[in-house]
Amino acid sequence: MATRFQTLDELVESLRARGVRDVRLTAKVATTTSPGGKQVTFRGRLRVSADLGDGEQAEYEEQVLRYVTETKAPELPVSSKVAPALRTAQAALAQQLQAYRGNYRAAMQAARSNLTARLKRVGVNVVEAED
Amino acid sequence: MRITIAVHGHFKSTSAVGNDEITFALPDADGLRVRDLLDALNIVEEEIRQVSYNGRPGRLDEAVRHRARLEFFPRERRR
Repeated sequence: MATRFQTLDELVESLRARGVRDVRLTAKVATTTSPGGKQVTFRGRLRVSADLGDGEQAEYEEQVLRYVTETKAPELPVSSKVAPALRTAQAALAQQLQAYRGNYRAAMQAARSNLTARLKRVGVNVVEAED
Repeated sequence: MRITIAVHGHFKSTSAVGNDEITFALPDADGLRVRDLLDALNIVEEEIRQVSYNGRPGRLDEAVRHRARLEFFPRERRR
């Protein structure tokens, strides 16, 4: 069962009480494209989770500032056999990724570093989610 | 349709996805397959060891549906 904490301080307090020093940090980004396809909105979330033992989990989630960007859809080389809907989906994906790379990734990285630093200051080790 | 993509290993630095799990809102496209996403994601097919589709082993020619969650695992790189 996961207990969700409203503030980082509350999470840290709970970890200390149980002698847990390691947490896992994961990031998620949701992107939405406007119907016209020009505007892309990014909403990021950082999740700190810890294993408290006995199958119990502790979680804290932080929102990263929403970002809206406008971008041109890139031209993609798509074969004539492929349906127009497929081309549209590919272009939308490429467009969202392009805007993400250009604008939001830096914001996510900064938020991640900030949260990691705050946790390290209070003696909590951050393990980035990896393979 | 809404799809979520996450990558592992060196794909985190070489693909367009990066460290963060990303959820995309895409126009519905019948016939869209996992393989069709690779160019946009900057993932080379030959470098993929495994694709996970909604938590189970997936295939590159599998249709991508609403709420699909895809994870790409790379082969180990030769040194």
